[in-house]
Amino acid sequence: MHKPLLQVEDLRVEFHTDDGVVRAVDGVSFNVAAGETLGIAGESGSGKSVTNLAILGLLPRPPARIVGGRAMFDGRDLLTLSQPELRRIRGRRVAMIFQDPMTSLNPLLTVAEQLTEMTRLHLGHTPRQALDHAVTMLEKVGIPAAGRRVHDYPHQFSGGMRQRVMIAMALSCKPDLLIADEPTTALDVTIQAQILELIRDLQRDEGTAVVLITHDLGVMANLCRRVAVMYAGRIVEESSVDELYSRPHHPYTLGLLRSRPRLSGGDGRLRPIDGQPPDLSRLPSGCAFHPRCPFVVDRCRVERPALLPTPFEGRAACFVSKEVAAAAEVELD
Amino acid sequence: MIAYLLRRALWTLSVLWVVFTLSFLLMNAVPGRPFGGDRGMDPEIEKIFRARYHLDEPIYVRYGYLLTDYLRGDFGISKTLRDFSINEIIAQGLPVSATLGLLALLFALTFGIIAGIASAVRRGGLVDHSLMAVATVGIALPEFVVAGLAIIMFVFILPWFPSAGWGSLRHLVLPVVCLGLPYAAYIARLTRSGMLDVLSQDYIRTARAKGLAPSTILTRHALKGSLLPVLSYIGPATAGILTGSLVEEKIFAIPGLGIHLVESVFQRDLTLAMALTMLYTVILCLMNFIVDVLYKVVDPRIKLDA
Ligand SMILES: Nc1ncnc2c1ncn2[C@@H]1O[C@H](COP(=O)(O)OP(=O)(O)O)[C@@H](O)[C@H]1O
Ligand SMILES: [Mg+2]
Repeated sequence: MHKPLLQVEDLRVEFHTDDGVVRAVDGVSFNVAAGETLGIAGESGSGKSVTNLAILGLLPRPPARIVGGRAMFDGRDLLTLSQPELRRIRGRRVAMIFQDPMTSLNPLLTVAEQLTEMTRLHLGHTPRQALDHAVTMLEKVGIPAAGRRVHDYPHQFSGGMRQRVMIAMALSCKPDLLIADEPTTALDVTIQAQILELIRDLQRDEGTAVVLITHDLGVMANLCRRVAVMYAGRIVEESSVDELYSRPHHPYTLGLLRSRPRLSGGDGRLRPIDGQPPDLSRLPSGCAFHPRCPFVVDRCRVERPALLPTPFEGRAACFVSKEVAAAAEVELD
Repeated sequence: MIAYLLRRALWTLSVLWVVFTLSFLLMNAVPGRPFGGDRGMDPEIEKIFRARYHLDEPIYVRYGYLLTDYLRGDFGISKTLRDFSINEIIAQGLPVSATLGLLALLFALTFGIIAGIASAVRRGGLVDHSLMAVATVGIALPEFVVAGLAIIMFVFILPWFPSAGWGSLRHLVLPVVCLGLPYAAYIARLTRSGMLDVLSQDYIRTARAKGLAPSTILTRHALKGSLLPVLSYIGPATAGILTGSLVEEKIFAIPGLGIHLVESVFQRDLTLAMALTMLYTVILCLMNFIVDVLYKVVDPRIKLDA
């Protein structure tokens, strides 16, 4: 197996707020190989964004504090790099796109200004080269009349088109890794599929590795080979997509799968997970999921399960993962 | 854009017309004889005024005559300053007042914006706290108190500047600073909150994720947006500086228009008062017009036909 492109080990991030210390990311580890697509799923508030913002040093400090871990990229720990060193990686080697394309582009600058400043900085383009490249990128992401539209402002584009602009911008320096943080959550359902398809096609053509963050497991199935599921700042399960969908080993994953709309099978009802995600500054004892877990046993209330390998090449953090997998197999079949 | 400018110009003209009409009606509603003073008028002068302002005609005819005069740029004559036409008075005083006002505005913008940005960038630090403390005091103190303190400080205790008069750069410093200070303070607060607001926007995070340097982010991505509130404030600031200059001109004995406006009101010199009122209105409208156009140049989201 290749050496991973990005290797996150035991990442811990806290927020020091007036209400106390919020453990937003609590010992997260994952790898991304070159050219691979990793999915990160979980309800909102589970720490997906904070994990990835921490890796690129984009969290507001204070209140955020990275209290532990490493993020090895190309032999260097991103968490210990100086700001100037980090700036040579951001955008150039690791690019990011965000949830809301309405607010993620600067409303007072044209698309051309926002695209060209990046390649001029990282690739040393002349203004002419940068503009040509910007048009090429816009064409690549399917923006019609790109040569003309490049001079428009963000508000002159629809939501879906803006996200295409974001993608064009993110990929304009041919990064090794693209982190896409819920890139379709703010878009219409019909547009969502188009954007995901675009990311998949570009990923295939350019060989870019992708971390795709989403709270929707359905979105993952087509794009990722491996998926990590986060709950309350920890990865509770990680495995291949096929495995995860047919035989989840963590009750939270099973809950997410149940709550997903499906076209066929089952009784057609959506079954949301009972209860609310926990307050991260007052986590329950033991397994953070135990108050909502239908499989709960006494041990779950006092001891926190470690993320351990399952018999099927995945990892799960659950004392009763075998029972969960067995129940899931029957139910999801 | 052309259509917008035309529409906006038309609007400005109607505002001016309304102000003119109201001033004219008020002037005629002032108790006593038309254009008369407390002690009555010298019959000689009264004859000149009768002829010049057609005082024997009905009001709507006089209105027509005066409007025509103003449109031609002829502001008529004053009963208190008989050696000059009002146009000559304006020609003497306007450059002085305009210099004072524009320098005060420039001072307010420069210092306000720089202080606001410094505060925002060092938010919560010593620079921020001290600048904002000064700004709060600057906003709260009335002009004459600031001017009084400044004179005590920089004329008597430290004899750096002359206490009054006009003509040299050293004469300019105190009145310009005293006139501009409250506006500098307010602009500093506006810039600071505008900058903090912009810096918390998603698109600033995008800019950081692109690997841009903090200085690039500040100048290219944040500055424009954070100055939009300041831009809208230039209109009201101009109005404030116009009235403030009345006080400062009096305190520092500056031979501008402010003193004439104040005196014309006290002396019931209605023709002069009306002319100066219209002049100040024109200046204010012009400033608002410029600001509006600038706003649309800076912020592309604002529709020109709105
Ligand atoms: N700026 C912040 N200040 C305080 N707490 C924060 C901040 N940003 C995030 N958090 C905390 O981190 C948790 C995880 O947030 P996030 O990673 O954005 O979740 P998601 O999985 O939806 O992306 C949130 O529940 C919140 O409590
Ligand atoms: Mg998020």
